[in-house]
Amino acid sequence: MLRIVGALMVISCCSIIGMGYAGGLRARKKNLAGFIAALTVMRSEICDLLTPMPELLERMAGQTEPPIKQFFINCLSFMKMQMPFSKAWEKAVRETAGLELYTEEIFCLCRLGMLLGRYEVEEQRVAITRTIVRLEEFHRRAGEDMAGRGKVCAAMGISAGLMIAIIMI
Amino acid sequence: MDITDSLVSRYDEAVGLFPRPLRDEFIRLPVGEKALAEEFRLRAGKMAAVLLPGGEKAVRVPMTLADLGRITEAATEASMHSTRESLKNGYITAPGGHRIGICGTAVVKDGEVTGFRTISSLAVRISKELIGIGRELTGSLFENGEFLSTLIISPPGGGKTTLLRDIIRLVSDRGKRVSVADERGEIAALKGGIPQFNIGRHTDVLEFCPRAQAVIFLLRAMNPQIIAMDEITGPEDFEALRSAVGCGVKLLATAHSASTGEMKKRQLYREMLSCGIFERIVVIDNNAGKRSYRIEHCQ
Repeated sequence: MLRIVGALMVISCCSIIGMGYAGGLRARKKNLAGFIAALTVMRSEICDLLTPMPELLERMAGQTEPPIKQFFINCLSFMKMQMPFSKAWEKAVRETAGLELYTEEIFCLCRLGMLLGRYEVEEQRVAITRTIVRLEEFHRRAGEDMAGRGKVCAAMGISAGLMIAIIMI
Repeated sequence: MDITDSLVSRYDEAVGLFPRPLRDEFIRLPVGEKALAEEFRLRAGKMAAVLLPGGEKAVRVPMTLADLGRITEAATEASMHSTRESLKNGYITAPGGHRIGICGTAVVKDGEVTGFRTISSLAVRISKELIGIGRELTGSLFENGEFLSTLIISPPGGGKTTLLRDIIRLVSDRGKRVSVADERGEIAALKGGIPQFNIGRHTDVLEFCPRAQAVIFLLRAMNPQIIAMDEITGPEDFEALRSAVGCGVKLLATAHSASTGEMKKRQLYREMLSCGIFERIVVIDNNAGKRSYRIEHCQ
């Protein structure tokens, strides 16, 4: 009886790990899409309405879903701690839980933070547009990753669990 | 809150824009000096200083270019794009209505200043709110219950905006609809649409819009009884005010000048006085930091 319970636990754990990894890939794709949408709104706010950053971050936090919402909340709170904007933005990109971004994607967003709020409207428009284009590329790749590796990971998790359970029994 | 508390709290708010060692040094000043402080003078490579009625008093913190950059970022809330119009005129308005004058290496594109490559000096003027300073004066600015168009004059740093703000509050609380053309965002210091200063119950504010344009907007949109603005400087301001008076609206404005005699030396002001758009002139006299107000009838 104990062996069966143990085997079931092993199968569950491995399945959760596999599906968790697949879930991470799904979240990454969703969050990249969230960033693309948020940056599109930010571009209009900065370039057309000249909205100041604190007001903009607050507005974005109100319009987005977690964890992007949390990203904007974090960035605003770091800014209120008198951190330079580029640092606040970078810290929020790196430390917001659940974003599931890859190094290249983090780097791309951090680089945008170094330009936001510092330069003329047109320069900011170009920088945001360039970042959106890059994120769209990452989003496309994330979609491919999810389709290719997502199901494999989930299946591998379950299979690994089954194998270990069989060996144990 | 008494006047000293109010002045000290405005001082502390302005100091809040500064990075740590500098902020601590300025916070340590005695309350008496904080209440009298008018500006902070920050120059790269020099000790930071506070401007008191007797002159500049330096503190032991040398300013670096990086410090000036950080202060500018704090003052613009990391939003250069939001302040570019005022930046073209060499200043920015920080949250709380503190005006920061900028010097350094300007960037000029198509003959227009678009920003600063290097900031070498900042003059942070502490905005003040002195509730009640215009109380005794305001009664004399009414005749048969009607407000008389009034111009407030003093040299730069004489306290025109502070007096203007209090008169706006007093007149507004008497039930007059006052519309404020606040080009620099110093009179009301709106934050999230809410004025950070008490400017009265019946006051509407149009912020960061060029004054002359703002007067026309306000006339069309807000049905004002009084239009208030700070620092008439150009002929376009004068023309806008003249058209407002033609619509039956009263004026409350300020101008740089030590006396009416001195005003007449400038053609624009001479015309303004002679065409009769103002009925009263309030002259601010400054004796070693102690201000007194004098009302003159406009001929």
